[in-house]
Amino acid sequence: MIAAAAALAAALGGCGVPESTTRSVDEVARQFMAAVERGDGGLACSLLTPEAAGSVGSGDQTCVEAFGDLDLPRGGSVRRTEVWSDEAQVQTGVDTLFVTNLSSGWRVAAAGCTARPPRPYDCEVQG
Amino acid sequence: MRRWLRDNGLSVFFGTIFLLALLGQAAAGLADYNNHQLAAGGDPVSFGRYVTSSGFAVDVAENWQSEYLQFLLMVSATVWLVQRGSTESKPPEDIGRESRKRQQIGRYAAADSPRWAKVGGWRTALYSRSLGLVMGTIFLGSWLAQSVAGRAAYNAEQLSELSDPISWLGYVTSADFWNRTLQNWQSEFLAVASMVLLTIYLRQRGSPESKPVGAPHHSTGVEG
Repeated sequence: MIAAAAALAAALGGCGVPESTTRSVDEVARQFMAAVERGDGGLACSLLTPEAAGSVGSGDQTCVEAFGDLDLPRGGSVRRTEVWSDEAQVQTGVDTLFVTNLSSGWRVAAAGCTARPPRPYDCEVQG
Repeated sequence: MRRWLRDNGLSVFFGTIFLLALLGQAAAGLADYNNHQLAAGGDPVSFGRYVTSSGFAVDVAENWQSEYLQFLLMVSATVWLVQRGSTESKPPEDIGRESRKRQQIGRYAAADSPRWAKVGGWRTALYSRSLGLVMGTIFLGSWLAQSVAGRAAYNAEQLSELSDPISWLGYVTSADFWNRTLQNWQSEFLAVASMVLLTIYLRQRGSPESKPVGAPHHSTGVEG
């Protein structure tokens, strides 16, 4: 019983995420920031979750067409990444990205986020 | 084999239904989790993925810790506290740790008494408290597991709702942790209180948890 309780604590969900997972999240964040920097709406939209991409496009405009109208922070680099289960947060110095793990891989769920504690972040792009 | 099953039927029965209930919890929990995933725009997960998730771990651990706390308190409190008429209590005249003779310790131990009841010293002192110590250890271990897995599940939810994750210290002082903890504790304490009081007046013929059917209400610590 004691071993089972310890196994629960150590192995299930609480004690660290594989380094490879954090690297995957960081890579998606870097690609997204680079796409924003270049104004590459095609790449940026492909790195968003379907819901987030849908929120960018409105009316007759697709995500790629509407992406240029967004005022997302440019520059920055991955400063701090926290991964919990299938969700992650990446602090870039100029922005906070929320990233989620889908069957197709890690995708940006929200970007252009401003903290307003204790309420959730207010994000320019969010699903 | 038949004799072994007869002699160990109680543990086999409860061990079996425990495993079945745990399996059922995993299946129902998976369905519930995947419903939430789809509603939030995420993808459903497999059974294997779910039973190794922090969400499943915290749901299991929060129940385990409260059960072992219940046992710890019951084992400890019944040394000093009594309930006249209850099968869960000893008679008021026996309040306390009782004599070495009554407890069959040291020179009062029988030939077939456990070895550590006879030897004296720290071994007997430790063995005399072993039930409470083990219950308490399992309680603390599973409560720790609840806090670790609970923080992981909470932080995943925080991020999905575009909020910051929190530290372990932040989590164990959070409403989520104490809501999970106290909702389990209240039901355990209610269960014990119910058993303590109901066994005064009600009977279950043949059960050691009950007094004999004809035993008076005021008789205390009598088994059926």
